[in-house]
Amino acid sequence: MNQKLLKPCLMAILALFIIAGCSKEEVKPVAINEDTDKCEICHMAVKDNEFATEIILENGKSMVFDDIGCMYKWMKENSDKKVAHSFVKDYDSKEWIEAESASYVYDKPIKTPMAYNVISFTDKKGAQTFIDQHGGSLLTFEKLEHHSWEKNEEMVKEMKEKMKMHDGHDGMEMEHSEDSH
Amino acid sequence: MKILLKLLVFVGMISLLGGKETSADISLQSQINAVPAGGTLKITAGNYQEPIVLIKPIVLEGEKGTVLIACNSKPAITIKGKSVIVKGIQIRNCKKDKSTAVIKMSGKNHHLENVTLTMWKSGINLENVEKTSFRNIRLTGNGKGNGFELWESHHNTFEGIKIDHVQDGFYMEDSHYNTFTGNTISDSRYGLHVMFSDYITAKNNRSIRNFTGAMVMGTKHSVIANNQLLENNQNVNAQGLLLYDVHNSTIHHNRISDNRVGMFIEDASGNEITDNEITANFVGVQINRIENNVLTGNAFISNVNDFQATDGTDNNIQNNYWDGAMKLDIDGDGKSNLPHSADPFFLNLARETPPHQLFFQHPGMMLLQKMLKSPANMLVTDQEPLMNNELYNQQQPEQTKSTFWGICLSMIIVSLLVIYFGRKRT
Repeated sequence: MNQKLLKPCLMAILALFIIAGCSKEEVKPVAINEDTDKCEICHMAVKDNEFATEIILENGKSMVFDDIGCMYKWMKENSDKKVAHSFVKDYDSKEWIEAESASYVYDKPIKTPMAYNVISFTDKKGAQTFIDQHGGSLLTFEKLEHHSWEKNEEMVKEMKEKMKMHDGHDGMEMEHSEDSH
Repeated sequence: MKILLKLLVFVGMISLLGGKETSADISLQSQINAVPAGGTLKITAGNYQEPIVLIKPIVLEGEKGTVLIACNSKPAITIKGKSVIVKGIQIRNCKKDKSTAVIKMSGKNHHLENVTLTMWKSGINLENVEKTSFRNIRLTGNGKGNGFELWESHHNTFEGIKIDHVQDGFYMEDSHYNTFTGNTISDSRYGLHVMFSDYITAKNNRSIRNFTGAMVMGTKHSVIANNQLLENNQNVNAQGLLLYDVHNSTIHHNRISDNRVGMFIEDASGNEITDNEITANFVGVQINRIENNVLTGNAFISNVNDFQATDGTDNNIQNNYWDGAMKLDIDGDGKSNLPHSADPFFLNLARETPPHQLFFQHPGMMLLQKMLKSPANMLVTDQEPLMNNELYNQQQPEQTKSTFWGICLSMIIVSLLVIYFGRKRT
């Protein structure tokens, strides 16, 4: 090859590499495979539904969860791991959204796979529409950080108290709380 | 023209003869409404295409061949109130049916018997149902909905139920004191799926060819005994019995065979896991983070890897029979003096990088595991494995042994006679 041409060619290739290296890579969530994916925390099969969530670590490893609560439990137990991205689903469209930009609704009667009772929406409007129709409280991503993540704890406690009251009898009568689903 | 008219009349007559659809002139619901409380309504055989609602304590009994077809947005049968009895009915629902379940129930003291369901979605949905019994029920699905769904339903019994091709055979959430006996669940996702429900009893059930035989999560004081969890190995995450967040429960005398993982136990405490027979699984038992459990008298036979474990504290793991363990009994007490440990090396490695699972039981991996031996405090160990499989000995009654020796003796005698009389005499 002509020596004069070689130098600009090499320069051009180098420049291309630099540009490619500088461009910010868009991270996309890995699609859920219902046949093989299981929740990292509770080991249940993860369905590609409105409750699925996903974490992508800085080392590129991805993990899926069947409930937002399971994702937060994992983050609490693995605080040393660096999370690059976390994704949740829009409750209505079932499309992936960045967890940071999502709006959340918590309400005890909302049935989620692990009974954490929190669902996610692309924007505040979607969440508010749900609240208007079904009730619940609006949570932002920041508020979610301080959410207690109890699995219907209050309901379980109520149940226990009632059991204690009636325990020891074979034909135990049990009443239900009005707000239970 | 006359011939055409005759033909029309003939066709009309034929159609009248064959008209079995909705055989009653009066609707089924109005017949039900006419029955007084405590009365019985016997339904004549035929196809009925209307959803029915039962709110009074009555008995609804179908003749052989009574079929309810549900193609509506309402459940085929809605049961409310108390003491409703339904017997001998076959129910089919259409693909286009938009109702959440074929039978929807609430209330108490109901009884369902000899009911057959063929469904596209969920079968029987229980919300706030108490002291209700289900016997001899057959459910066939198409893998989408659950067979039985229990929500805050307590003190119910399920007996002799056969379920196949559903999502979960029995799914229960916040439902306590329920009893499952002699049921069979096959070709589904999870056989028994317990979620946040205490005092559950599951005895003599069979769970076959599901992703997971029994998925027991979030329970206390439950009993899982004498069940058969077999061939749950079709899925990459399959297991016979999964115990997650299970406390103070008894897991006793189950047969767990031909699964991917026999028993998977995580975040469990205070359980008694005894006398189970765990055979021919890829991994016998996989344990993560368990505390104060008793694991004794179990037999682990012909599993590719019998024991994998991480983070076990204060557990009483001893006197199990491991056919894969090195055993040496120097004091003749029938117990090996060599402890049998599960090294967490492979589990930790696969957790960090799942593709390393490809090296399961690879000779190189075994070598690495031996070289990079984990410290003793990280190992989950059976301190005194049994020398012989006592569970097997218990199962072999004396009579079987005497029959065996009898056959041996008779064969020896026959052989000697053949030799004595059959030899060439010179």
